[in-house]
Amino acid sequence: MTQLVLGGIPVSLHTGEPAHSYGYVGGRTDVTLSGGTPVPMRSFTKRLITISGSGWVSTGLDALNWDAYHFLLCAVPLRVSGIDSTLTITADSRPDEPVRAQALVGEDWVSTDVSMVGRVGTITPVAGASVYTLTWFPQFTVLCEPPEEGYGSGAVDWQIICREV
Amino acid sequence: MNNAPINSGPLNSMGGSAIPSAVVITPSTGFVWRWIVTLGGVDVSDQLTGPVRVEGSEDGDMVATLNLWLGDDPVSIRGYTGQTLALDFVVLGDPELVSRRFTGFLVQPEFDVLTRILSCTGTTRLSDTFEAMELDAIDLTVGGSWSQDVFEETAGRSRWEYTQERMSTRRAGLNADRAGQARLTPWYPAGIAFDFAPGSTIYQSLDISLSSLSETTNVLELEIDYRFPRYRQRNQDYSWLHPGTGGNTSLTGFNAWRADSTELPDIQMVTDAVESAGWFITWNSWYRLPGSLPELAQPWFNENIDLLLGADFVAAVRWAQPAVERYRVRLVVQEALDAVGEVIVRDRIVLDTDSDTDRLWEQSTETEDDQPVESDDPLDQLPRRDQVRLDAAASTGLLRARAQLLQAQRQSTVSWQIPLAHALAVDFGQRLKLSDQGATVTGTVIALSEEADIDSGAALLTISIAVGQGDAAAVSDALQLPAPPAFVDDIAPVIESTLDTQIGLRISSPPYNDALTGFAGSYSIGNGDPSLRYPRRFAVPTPEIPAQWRDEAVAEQPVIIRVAPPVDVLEV
Repeated sequence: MTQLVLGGIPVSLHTGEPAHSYGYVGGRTDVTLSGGTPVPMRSFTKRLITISGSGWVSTGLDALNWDAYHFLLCAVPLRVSGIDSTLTITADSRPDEPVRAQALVGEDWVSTDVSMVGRVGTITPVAGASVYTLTWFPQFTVLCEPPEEGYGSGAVDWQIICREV
Repeated sequence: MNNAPINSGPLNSMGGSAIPSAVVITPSTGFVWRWIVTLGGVDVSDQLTGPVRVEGSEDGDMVATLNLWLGDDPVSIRGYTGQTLALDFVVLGDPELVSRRFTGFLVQPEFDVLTRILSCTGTTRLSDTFEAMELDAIDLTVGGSWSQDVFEETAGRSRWEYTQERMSTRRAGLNADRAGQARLTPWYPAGIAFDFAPGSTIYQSLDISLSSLSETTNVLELEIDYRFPRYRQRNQDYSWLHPGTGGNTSLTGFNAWRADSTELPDIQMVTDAVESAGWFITWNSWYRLPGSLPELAQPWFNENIDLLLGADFVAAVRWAQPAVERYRVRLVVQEALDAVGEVIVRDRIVLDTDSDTDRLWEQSTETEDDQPVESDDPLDQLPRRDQVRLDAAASTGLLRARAQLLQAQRQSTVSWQIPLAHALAVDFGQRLKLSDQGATVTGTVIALSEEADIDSGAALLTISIAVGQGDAAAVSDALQLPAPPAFVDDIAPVIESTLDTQIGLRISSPPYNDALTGFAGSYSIGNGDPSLRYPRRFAVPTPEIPAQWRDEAVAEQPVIIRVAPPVDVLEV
């Protein structure tokens, strides 16, 4: 299984399975015009990644300087789909994990090849494909809130909230 | 519109002579934006944090507030004050839309030691700009009207105040454009620049603020008192002829007098008599005793030809009378007055053109061109008015009063919000129309406030317009003083212009009468009591000058000037 790595420190499975939650943070407000039309206004787009787990031991990530930016290699993949064979992934891919391409043919997903240039992936077309998809393990430069750890009932509960820089 | 040079044309034609057709603002889509902050010529956009606010009103500076994070490295804090500050709002897309929102100077940075955030306030520094300008440059820039009698002398006073004094006579606002340049924007621009279509503004952002009754002045009573000296001259004719001449002023008359000669007055006596009363002789025709005439059958020898057998002369007295022309000007907005009754403000302008030459007039005896010459009219007057100065003061006062009245009639404001990127071109001096949120409103932009917060992503523009309360049928009168009021003098008391004669030292002579005017003297050869000899004297009575001619004279001239504010729509 792909391992979670934060600031160069791998987080082993003994800490429990890391649950990822990908979201967005701030930078966007929707206003409603008088006719009811919502209008989004956005100054930036940054991810908010919340990773939590519960395991036998703590993550040991307290060794990191929480005031500094760190490199986060995520252990849960993201996915983009489209009917076109050229797709753009929305975050950088981990260098140690390849971007995987699949095509939906009938009711089955069929693996196919993809060549990445930056974030743009050109998928080798598959005959009869109705949807193409790219799956990748993202990496981010993040600023973390000092993580919380809870000890009790024989387990360590932990959570790290990371904001994309 | 923004790049037209300041004051390049009359106000109503600002932004081109043709009335531009309204740009309709329709509900628009979302946008992605960012700020470009240039401080002292350096792009510091990366250090920007939190909200950026740019505010301004029709009168006065644009003000920008923003926060910069200075980073962890040591920085010199003192150098920030006075740096140039420019803000550009960028709407990302293809192509990118860059809109200059503010150009000015950082006037007051505040540094938070804990967060290392520099809170910056930038303004366009209009007052500093105008303070540094020469007066004639200000006149050229601001226009308007100014008078030393309405305001104060300019020497040693703030030029910015002077600028505002001139502005107070204009129907325009003085503000700074987005490029930081001072400019005038009219209160009543021609044509509607932007029409906000239904659905274009932010839901529930409409705010209507109606003016309170006591603020809505509809009558302005302006009293202009012009005080000046009237140079006055009272003339009086006199006529005296020695009775011994038998009424004949030729040699025959002389011969008749010579047959029974008497003492005679001389010119000096007449002059002294006039001058002792404070008068002076402006014209004379002396009937002199002839000089030596040895060729006569009875030769006549006389050295003193100043002796008089008769005299016709005009005497005059001069004084300066203070006069006050009191113009009671009533500027009214008739429709508002009819609707709500009088809401009055009063103002007064006093001009005084007395001068040191007034005393000289009282002492003078010359009859120069610009002073009254003797005439048959017993009373002359020369008003020492300075019409040019009065006109300057009056027009300044009237313009200021009208501006004050019109300003009071545009106190109602309507404001609303719209996403900033949807209305970047809205500016002061534009007339807007709003047809949204159940309201139909027109008016001129008086305040703009935009805030774009990086944290929240919200970029909103708040627009405030002033809505005039005119009436389409209203009539506007010319803004000028009426003709000066006339001063009415009391009727002049009349005295007898023919002077008497009494000759003594004869038994037939009546007792000497001191009250009798004219000449008193004695016969050369008398037969009466020498102790009853009359004194040789010449008395000239002068007519009384009534107090009403000397005291301050006041003449009033009331006038009503109707002012018609332009019409705006305000329907909800």
